[in-house]
Amino acid sequence: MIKILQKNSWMLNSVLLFALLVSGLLSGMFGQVTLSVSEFVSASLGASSEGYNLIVQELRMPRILLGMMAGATLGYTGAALQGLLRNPLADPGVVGVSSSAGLGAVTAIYLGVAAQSTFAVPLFAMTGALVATLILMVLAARDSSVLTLILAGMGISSLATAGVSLMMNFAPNPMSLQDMVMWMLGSLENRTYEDLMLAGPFIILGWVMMIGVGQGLNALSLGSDAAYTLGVDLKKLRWRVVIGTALSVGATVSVCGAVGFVGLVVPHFVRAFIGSEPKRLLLPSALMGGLLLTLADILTRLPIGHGQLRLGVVTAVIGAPMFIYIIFKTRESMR
Amino acid sequence: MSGLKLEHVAVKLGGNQILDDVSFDVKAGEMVGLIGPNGAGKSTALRAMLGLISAGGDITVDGSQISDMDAKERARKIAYVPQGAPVHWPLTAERTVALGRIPHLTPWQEMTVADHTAVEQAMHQTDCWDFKDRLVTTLSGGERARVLLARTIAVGANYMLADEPTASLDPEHQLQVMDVLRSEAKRGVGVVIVMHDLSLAMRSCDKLVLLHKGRILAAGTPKDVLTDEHVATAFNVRMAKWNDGTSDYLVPHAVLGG
Repeated sequence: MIKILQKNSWMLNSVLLFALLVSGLLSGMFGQVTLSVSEFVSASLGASSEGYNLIVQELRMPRILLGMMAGATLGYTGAALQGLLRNPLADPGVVGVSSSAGLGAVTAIYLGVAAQSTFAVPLFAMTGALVATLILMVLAARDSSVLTLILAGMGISSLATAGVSLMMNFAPNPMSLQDMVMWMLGSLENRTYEDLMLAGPFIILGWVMMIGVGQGLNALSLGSDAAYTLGVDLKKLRWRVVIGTALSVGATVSVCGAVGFVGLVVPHFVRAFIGSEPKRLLLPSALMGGLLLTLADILTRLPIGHGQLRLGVVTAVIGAPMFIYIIFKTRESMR
Repeated sequence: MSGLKLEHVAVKLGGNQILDDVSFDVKAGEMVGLIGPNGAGKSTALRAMLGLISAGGDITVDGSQISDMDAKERARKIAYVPQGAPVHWPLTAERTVALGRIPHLTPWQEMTVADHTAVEQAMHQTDCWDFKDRLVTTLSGGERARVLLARTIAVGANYMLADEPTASLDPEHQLQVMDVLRSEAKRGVGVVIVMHDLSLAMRSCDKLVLLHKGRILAAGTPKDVLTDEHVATAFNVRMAKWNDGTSDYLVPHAVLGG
């Protein structure tokens, strides 16, 4: 099976797409009210009882779609950043882009602009993500050193976390404090179509910016000089990945908080099936990211422990050990 | 108008004049060795010819200014073998060589039959088809150098620029690499090699360009360039020389006094 998948990335993509659809179906069935497959399907077509129609169409559908888009964004940008920085540890969470987007979102709440305009939170989040990505490029794009990247990421996330802590410290009221905690932990709970309409266009715009970067990322496998002599416009390539990441991750974080490690774990898994060629990793990483986040979201709805399990906590519990494992595996190449 | 031409090329980096008034040309089918002591400006000249750094003067390839050319068009004309080239991901040898076809493809295009043929031919030429499915990270230094050379040949460019392609290779692989470049020249490719081994340069190149302190000290046939006087000025050493009937051999013998 693995051999066949290695030869044909379209086969892996088909398997992942199918799994993604099944996970979406499961996500629609489970929750406080458990539905059967036929109940879910008829409710999503508006042909069930009023209560079921409401649950599926107003509560579960936007949550499923947002989860898939967020996961796809994190998986895709993880793979793209790894290709650009030639580093298997790059991930919007690890390098501090997500937490900086979180800082942007929290700033919007703290300053009270979030109450004045619904666009404030995503715009502030995208600005935070952009600033972080630019700092990262300055610090880590020159060489592909694992150590430089990790240190740069640590610096950026520490800075963002310090900023968030500062604002939580001076939070105007307990309500906004709770909002801020949400951005730290990440969640898809109570997301509506409005959230989808707000973040969706920016997420998709970010994706569009990054369409077709695969060939340039492939060429970068040989280093930036060789990529240049293969006719790749490196400046354009960097900007497309940086802006695309900032837009899509910023918008994602603005609706579901800083969900970490998806972009790290997913490309790593995909590599095991189809090898390390950056271009071939992009699409399956997006599909698998969507799948992983949808499954993680189902997990948050299961009755575990005393309170509500947060989405970002689930991905961190899976992702952090993986992060250490990848460091362990790549430490020989560390400089 | 054909040929890769440098006319009065000057490069300044960080306030230092690295190249000054350098002019020479490479014709189709010609193998030119770029030699000189460390810091003479050999790699800088190569980087200027590739458009990697901006330079004063004129650098033209088959009549077109290098700085005005479309990136992919330039990439199809001039291929490059970087020094000690890294491969950042564990790709298979075949996929690594296939990267050489990028200048011929749009970002969306998959490789055509012609592209696959070019890759296979390049790999046969450098004798690495047998391990096409192995990961480059698991190859020996010599195997890896052959894969990276095949990657450059796969471009199918009119000119090939190689920055010390024989560095860190054992004698057998050094000769193999030079023979591959020689056979490329025979097929009509203009080849420029930066190298330190003067005997290898003498044996393999049609023409040598000797750089010293950013200027051309001598250019012409290996015999005319590698005279005792030139070698003493540029390298500050005396060479022991002998001839086996086919070629001259040079071995550094003694450091001359300052």
